[in-house]
Amino acid sequence: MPFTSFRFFFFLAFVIFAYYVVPKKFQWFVLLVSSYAFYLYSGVENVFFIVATTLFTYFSGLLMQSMRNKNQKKIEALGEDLTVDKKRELKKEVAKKIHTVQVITVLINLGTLASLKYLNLLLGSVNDMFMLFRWDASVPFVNLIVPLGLSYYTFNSIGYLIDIGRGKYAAEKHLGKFALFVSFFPSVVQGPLNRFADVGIQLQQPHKLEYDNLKNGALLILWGLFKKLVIADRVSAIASTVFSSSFAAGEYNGSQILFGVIAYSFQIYGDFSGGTDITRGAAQMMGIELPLNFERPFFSTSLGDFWKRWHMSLGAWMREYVFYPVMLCRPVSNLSKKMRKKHGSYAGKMVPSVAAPMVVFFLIGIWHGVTSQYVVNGLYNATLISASVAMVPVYNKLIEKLHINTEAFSYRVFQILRTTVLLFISRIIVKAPSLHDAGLMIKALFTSVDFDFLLGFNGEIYKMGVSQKEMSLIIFSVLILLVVGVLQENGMKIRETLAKQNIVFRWALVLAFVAFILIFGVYGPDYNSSSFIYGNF
Amino acid sequence: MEKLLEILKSVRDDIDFENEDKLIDNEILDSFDIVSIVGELCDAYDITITVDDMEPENFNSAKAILALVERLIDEM
Repeated sequence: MPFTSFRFFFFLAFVIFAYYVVPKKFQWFVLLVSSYAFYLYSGVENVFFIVATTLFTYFSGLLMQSMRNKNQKKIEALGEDLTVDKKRELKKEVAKKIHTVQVITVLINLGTLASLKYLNLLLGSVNDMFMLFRWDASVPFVNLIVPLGLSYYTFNSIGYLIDIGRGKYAAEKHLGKFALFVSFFPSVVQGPLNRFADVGIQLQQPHKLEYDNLKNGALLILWGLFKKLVIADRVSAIASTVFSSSFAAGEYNGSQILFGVIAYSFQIYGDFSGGTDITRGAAQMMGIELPLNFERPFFSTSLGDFWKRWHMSLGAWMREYVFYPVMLCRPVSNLSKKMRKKHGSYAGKMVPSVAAPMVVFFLIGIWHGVTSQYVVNGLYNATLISASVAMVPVYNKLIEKLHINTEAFSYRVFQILRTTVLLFISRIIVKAPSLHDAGLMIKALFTSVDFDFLLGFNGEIYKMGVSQKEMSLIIFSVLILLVVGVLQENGMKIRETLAKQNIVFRWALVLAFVAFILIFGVYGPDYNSSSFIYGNF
Repeated sequence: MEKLLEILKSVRDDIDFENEDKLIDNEILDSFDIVSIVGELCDAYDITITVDDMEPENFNSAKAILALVERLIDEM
């Protein structure tokens, strides 16, 4: 059931109605039933996996909790006989046991995710190897389904298990309420990734009907539909025109590739952030605040900054469960210490600043897919981020020598442009038909510039999958997106500002926006809106 | 406090840890410095600093770091 379909909005309206009509203590139950109904709609066979993950995570959480509780009782029972050393020993002992359970359960969850997503890819590679060595053998492929939202609910479950293992909060005792956290339908398809301590608790709490929640949620959904249907689904034609054929075919020059990568950047942003807006809006209508997933990534001043603004819930997840643990782990910390003592604090700092981004971006790369393009893109991001830490002393010297005012507006523009170029390279790496094509395309980007094409003088720009009229519409829509982005960057809260306007103006604006989406959105009874890109991850 | 200041200086000798009280807020220390400091503190005081303790308020000043160390020693 795509989030842009009328079916979904009928379903959502029905759920919201039921949610506010039933007694408050049953609201969570309405959400659980709706979530499973939504999930069943995606295929009965999918339900098996989400139920298995839910049960496994739920009982693993309870097991860790009972180990901790038992130990606590033991400590309390010892009373005054308990020495500091004995207490320390008991705590260490149970921490070790809990850690073992935590590692095993996380690995089982990860293993399920990896085998469902990547087993056939791996078998394909094995067969390729056989062919390479001309061995007359092949491994048969396994008929596997990748359940809807597999990565998202698995990551949510892993986060929960790690938190329980760390003793951050107590394990959820109610199976139904825990099952709702894993399956909550607006966020099960493409996130955002949720924390149990935040969203899991909100889902259990009663929520009373509030006009502001309904209104703000609906406005956010509208904004998401605009990004997805008017921008993403329209510019996608340009991106697929440019990136569907091999560069060696010689069809496109550097400027056309630049045009393609700009279009692709807007497509993937409109698609993913538009989908997230619909998700967050739907949840907000029921009084549930899901975490932010995007914060105007087009205005990023560095790659590090970009990853704080793009897919923020995955970034936060990686920071908490991968980045810091890698940096704090013994081998990294010992090596860093050794380097610091031998070669000074700069060398010591380089150890974690290389190790942690490498691990995180390698994982983010293969999270998107186990292809050489995603792996190379992960390493590309990690290398640049590590290099940016390594180059700080050089930058500081340069800034001082050239008397650069880093507070000036022009410097910020320079930083944004620099980041944009680095991101274009990253986008080409994953979007090009192959890694080889990506290399050629990136080279062409800087060597074959065609200003006539870019300025539209020779009309070639209108042969890239969109007509002149569509191009005007795209430019107008992107301008709306950018103006809203600039206003938000400067601290304006659009929905609050709108709420302060006169009622006639307010409604006129909203209705005009609805009409704009209805008229210019890429949709219709015969049109099958392309599925969300991140729904496949 | 003296032992702590010595540890902090061993990681970054260019910072006035005695008087600075916005080490994180003013971006004087970054996450990689914090990791180095955490490694040293764990060894020196035989404590375990976890990801949950990696909050800006715990590392904004030498005083805050000392409070964190003392709390973790007490909890042991």
